[in-house]
Amino acid sequence: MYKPPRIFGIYAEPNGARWILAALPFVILVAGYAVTSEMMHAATPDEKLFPTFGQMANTMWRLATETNKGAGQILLWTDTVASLGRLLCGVYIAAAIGLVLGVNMAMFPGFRATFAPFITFLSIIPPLALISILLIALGVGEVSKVTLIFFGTVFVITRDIYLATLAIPIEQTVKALTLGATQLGVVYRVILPQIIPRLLSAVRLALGSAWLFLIAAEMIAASDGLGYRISLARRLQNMDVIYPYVLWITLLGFMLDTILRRLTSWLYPWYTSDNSKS
Amino acid sequence: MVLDNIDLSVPPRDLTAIVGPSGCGKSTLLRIVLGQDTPLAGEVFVYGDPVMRPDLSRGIVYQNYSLLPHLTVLQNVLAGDRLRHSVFWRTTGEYRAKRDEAMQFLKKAGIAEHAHKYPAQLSGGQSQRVAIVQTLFQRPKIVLMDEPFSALDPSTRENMQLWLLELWREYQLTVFFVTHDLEEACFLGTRLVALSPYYTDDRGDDPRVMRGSKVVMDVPIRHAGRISPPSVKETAAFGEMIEHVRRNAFDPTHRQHVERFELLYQYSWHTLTADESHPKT
Amino acid sequence: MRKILLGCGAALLLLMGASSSYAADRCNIAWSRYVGWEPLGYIQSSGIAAKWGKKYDVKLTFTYLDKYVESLTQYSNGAFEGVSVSNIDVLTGTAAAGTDSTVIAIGDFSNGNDGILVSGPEGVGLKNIVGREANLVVGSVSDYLLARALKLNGYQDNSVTRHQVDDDTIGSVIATAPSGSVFVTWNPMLMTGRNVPGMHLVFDSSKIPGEIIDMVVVNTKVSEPCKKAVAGAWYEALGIMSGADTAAADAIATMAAQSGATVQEFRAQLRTTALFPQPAAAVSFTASPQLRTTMEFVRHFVFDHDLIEGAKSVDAIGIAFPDGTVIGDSTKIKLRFTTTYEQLAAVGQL
Repeated sequence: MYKPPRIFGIYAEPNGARWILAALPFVILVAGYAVTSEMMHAATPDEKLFPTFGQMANTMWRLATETNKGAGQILLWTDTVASLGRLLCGVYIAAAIGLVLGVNMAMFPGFRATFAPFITFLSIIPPLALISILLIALGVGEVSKVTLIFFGTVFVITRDIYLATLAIPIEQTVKALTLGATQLGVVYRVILPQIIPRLLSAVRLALGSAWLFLIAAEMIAASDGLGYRISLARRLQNMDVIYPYVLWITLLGFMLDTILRRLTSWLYPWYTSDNSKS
Repeated sequence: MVLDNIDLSVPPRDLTAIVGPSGCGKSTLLRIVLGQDTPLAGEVFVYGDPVMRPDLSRGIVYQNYSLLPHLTVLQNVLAGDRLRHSVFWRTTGEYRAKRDEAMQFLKKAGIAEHAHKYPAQLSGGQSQRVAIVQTLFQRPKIVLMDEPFSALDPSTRENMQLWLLELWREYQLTVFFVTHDLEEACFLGTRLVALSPYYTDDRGDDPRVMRGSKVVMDVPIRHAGRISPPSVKETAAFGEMIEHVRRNAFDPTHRQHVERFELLYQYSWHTLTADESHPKT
Repeated sequence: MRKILLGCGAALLLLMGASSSYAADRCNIAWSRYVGWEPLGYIQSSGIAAKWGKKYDVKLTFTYLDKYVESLTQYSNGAFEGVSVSNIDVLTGTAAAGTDSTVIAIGDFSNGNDGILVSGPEGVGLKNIVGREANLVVGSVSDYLLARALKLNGYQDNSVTRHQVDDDTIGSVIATAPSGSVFVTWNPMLMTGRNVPGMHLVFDSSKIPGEIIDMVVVNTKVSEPCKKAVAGAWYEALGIMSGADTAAADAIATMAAQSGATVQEFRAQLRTTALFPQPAAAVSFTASPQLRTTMEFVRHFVFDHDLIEGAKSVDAIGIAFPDGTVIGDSTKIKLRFTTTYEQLAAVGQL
């Protein structure tokens, strides 16, 4: 009987080994780090650059459960709430404006002719280059951070919505007109509702870069937030804070993505076309 | 050029079937009638009024994409009424009356149990039933159909054909039905219009002459108001008619001269330009 | 798999090597931008470093790093034998990281180089910052200055909230800050900030003289020749620049140029920096009981502000003084004040 190979070659069928294979890189990373940190600590007990997993767990537990002396708050939650607030606020505004721009650009040639070149121009500006301008113009408060996240994500979302709207068959527009819809009715009551789940997918994609801009902004000016804590920990060389925080950010990103994906299939059961792909 | 000097008149309550080889422009003709495409020259009239953009006067059933994917079956049937009113219309008694009417229609169409499903959850035949209900619910003056049954399997397709004929008789519909399937056209239509690029005229061989498809055949098939049983498809006469149309419109080696087109339908006429047909000496 | 293991092993060896081995004759000191540390750049460019390196047979170099924080990290990580650092950051940045440092020379204390700015109408004072948000580099000397200012004037430490602004950025945001903004920063940002219309200096480090100290430290494990070479080079440079001759003017001009300031600006910054050009003065400052009092303030500030992650008590780190006494955990001495090298310089035995 033919038995396909487990791992090697294009005919491989990992099946049961799939989980083991998936875990392998993680195990190597974790084991490599554990060995390194233990060896470093054997040599220098006070070593702080490669904290052991035990130290990290202790630090994280303290940050997640104990109130901080100076601020009187539980740091991990304060930071998480502050960061998520900024992130979601920026992305929310970007999504709203991206939706309006994208749909109108796709549906109204006059609107497209007016805004498409300008938006293309703006979208080429690397948002991180704007940080200092934003800080000087908008101050070091929340507005500049939210604006950076907005600026960093709005054009990707606009473009995605624009292309998705163009991809809606012309038959839908004609059909709606034969049903007696006005031009505005077609755009805002037939096309727009169909695009909303696409907006959620676009937001999921944009969240990746939104995190980048959030952390960058918080590292420069903030009084709380995950990026702020990392930059402070860097200043104080608290690597046992930095590693768990990075992991926590990864986890938050994953959770946000999952929530948005679930939300899409729950709110828009009719939206199946490219949901299965991602 | 796709279409070349088409003259066509569709009287009320006709079920006009348009056939032709693929790429002959039958869908283009339908889109021009619909207002989705604009002809280089010429006009479309509905009951004597010139029409341009798609509007309520002409309903359309496509092969795909007729239904709005984000609305349920019932909402799709009510889509026209919803779109013509504000979002608050849904709280009125008028809406509830309309909704009951739509449910009745769906029940008659045999798809009432799917009323709260989304289009993506329907089979091909169910989708097209809903699309037809959705279109008829707006009572358009003419119903345009672009290969509505072409994606369905043969048995579903025949069911749909029979159902369409029932609807046509019951509501006295005026239907403009485009299909590439000769059997379907000959079975459904009261009149058959064949478009074809395969013909000859007196314009010569100059490559600058841009020829497009013309109506090469326009014949009555059966009397309006009569419906044939599906068994008619088995008869020899039916088979001969199909062969006849195939030869005149689908065979590139068989080209008729513009003056010899078979235009037997009572409302058909044919205007030939001077260069297309020189007087024979 | 074998390759992966080999790669891991190689990476580990590299890391180990970087953190624990010191080349026998290497004596590399990291420094970063601050008026009191500019002599270190001058030492390198003028050849003083080469001269003292030759005398003690070590490879003496002074390396400039643009980022102060990075210089501390790299020093703790073993990439440098010494670093220029303040008496606050030496606790939070290097001692907390487990690096045992010896103070070679106390260079200066800030005597107006750090200050608190408030924007607002004429007549605003320290009382106006209460309840506000202060923009500063959290955990830095600015944070300490603010804490001391509040305490000296009888305000609660938490009556002002701290808002982190990166030191690269703080200078540019002062210029456009709205009325009511509070900034705590150091020179040269303080100097330019003061000149912004509506900005008022409400407190500066001249009111807590001798508390914000800048110094040159080396890893205690480093060889004696390296320590002596650093001390020798340092006091030679300070001797030159504090003179009244053309050599002094040249040295000052070099330092001003390397810091990006005009000679006038640089001299203005020097006026608010109490340098110890005479090693004897540094000796008496280091040996005085006031230093111990200052370090008590500092370590309490550091502990109260949670600046040492995981520190169970204020005594977590031991600090040794020239008379042999220790505050904090005497088994974990990570900062050693000594007059040894200042004294050698004072008597000319380097």
